[in-house]
Amino acid sequence: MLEVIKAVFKLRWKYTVRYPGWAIFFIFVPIVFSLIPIILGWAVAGGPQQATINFKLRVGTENYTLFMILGSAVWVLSIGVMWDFGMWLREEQEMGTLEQLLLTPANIYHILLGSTIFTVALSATQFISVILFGGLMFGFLPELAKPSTLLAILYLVLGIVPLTGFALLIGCLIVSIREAEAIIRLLEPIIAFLVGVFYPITIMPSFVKYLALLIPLTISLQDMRAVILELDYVFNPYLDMMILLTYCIVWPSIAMITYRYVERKAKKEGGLGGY
Amino acid sequence: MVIRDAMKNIRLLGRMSLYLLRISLRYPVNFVADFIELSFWILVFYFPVILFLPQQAMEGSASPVLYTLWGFFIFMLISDTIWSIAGGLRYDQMTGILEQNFLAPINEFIYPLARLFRIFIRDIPILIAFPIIFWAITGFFLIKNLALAMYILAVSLMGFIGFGYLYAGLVLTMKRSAMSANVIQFLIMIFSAVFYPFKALPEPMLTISKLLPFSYYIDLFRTTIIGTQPELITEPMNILGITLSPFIAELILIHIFTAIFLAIGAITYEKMLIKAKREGTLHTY
Repeated sequence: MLEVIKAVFKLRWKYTVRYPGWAIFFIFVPIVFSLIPIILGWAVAGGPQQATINFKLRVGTENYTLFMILGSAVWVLSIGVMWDFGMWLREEQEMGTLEQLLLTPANIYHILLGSTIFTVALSATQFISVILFGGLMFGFLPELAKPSTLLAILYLVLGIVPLTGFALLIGCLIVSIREAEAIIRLLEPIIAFLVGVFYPITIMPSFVKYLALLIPLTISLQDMRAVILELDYVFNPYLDMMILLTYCIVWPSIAMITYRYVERKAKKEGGLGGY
Repeated sequence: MVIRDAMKNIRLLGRMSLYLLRISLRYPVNFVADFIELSFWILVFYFPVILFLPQQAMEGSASPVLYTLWGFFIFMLISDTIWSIAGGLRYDQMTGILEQNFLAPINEFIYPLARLFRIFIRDIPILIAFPIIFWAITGFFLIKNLALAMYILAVSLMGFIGFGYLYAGLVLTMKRSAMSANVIQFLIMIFSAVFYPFKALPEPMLTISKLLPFSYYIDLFRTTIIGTQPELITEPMNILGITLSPFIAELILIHIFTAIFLAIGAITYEKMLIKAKREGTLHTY
């Protein structure tokens, strides 16, 4: 099992380092992305100072840069996992190697696990880089140097596990529908909107809020902000953690069942090797 | 003779655009995604604005939110040009059909332009729906000086096409079109103040903004349609004894930029194409 995971990890690593430009791009895009609402905030408030006052009145913290960069970093993490994992399946299909891969004597779940670990490692590196660069730019790194940050990291990790299941589901959809780029492109703003990338989800209408809570990283992000910036939790710290733990089981299970169904269907119809 | 050639090229452009449109209609998810995607991006950037707004700001007629609306509107055209002319050419190069298509007896300038027109045919409903969706979500909508704004948009579009040819020429040799297109888009988004008024930018960033031609296109179109004064040139200018208002000065400036973009774009595209043909790299992945 470990050998398969290691081999898949190595293979994907080799592919990735051949295109280093994307790494730089993925670090700076979220920071630039966060700059837009920040500057827009200054514009509508009439200056950075007034922006701080207005933001504190509505959200409860003055540190809107950390609030937004954190949201942006979580967004890029979720998009990274979905892009990387979903596109990996599709690319294997496009290149014609997906069918070959499934014919090898390796357990498919081990292959998927290897790819998942790589994807998570890559996206987590992006997440950390965004926080570090953002922190250096806006000077909020000292605020993260406290023990409660560890609790925030725990919330994040609990969100990442179900996210991989979510990503596998997207992968299944892509293998079936094929228009991979369009699906991911569509999901990017939907995820950004639902997880509350630049705002607390409390400002959304309640039905949208509950829909947003189905995405694992929504709770993670809100609670990370709650821990670091002393804001409100989605429900309360214990219930939120219980929900995330439940998601850790539910999402990957649904994804595995769906994957099995899609794979069986594709094998029967011969769609695995289809461009 | 000239008129006959022009008519022939227009017919060719129409036929190629339709053929490309037919291809894009074969991907319905992609087509639908274009509509839905936009609405969600509006929401993503609109909600944080609410968090910063002073209570009374929601009542102003020239709210900063309107700058977001019209900035995004013109930005879509810039983005379309970059992606369709240059990105499309690169896509054809990757799929191996570029060399074959350039062997056909057609004007080589028409080929990338057809890609742009195909995008425009698809985007016209989006561009019309966009202000309506924005109004439905935010409650803000304002159009003034429509005819003048459309004229500015047309001049801007010519400039974007010139830039598209310039970029297409470069892409033919440097290849990494997707990444560079993303970088260019993000630079424009930030420094050309697509989502916010220029007055929101800190002084060092504003200096960079003033060096970018795209800033003037965006500023002039946006302030004209909202009915406010240009933000980049704020004082009347005196040139050769003639006093130009900020609006006229920016209007002249965008015409000059358009002429420069078209000239440089055409020369670069032609030169790079000849180079690629000579070196046999038109089909290179």
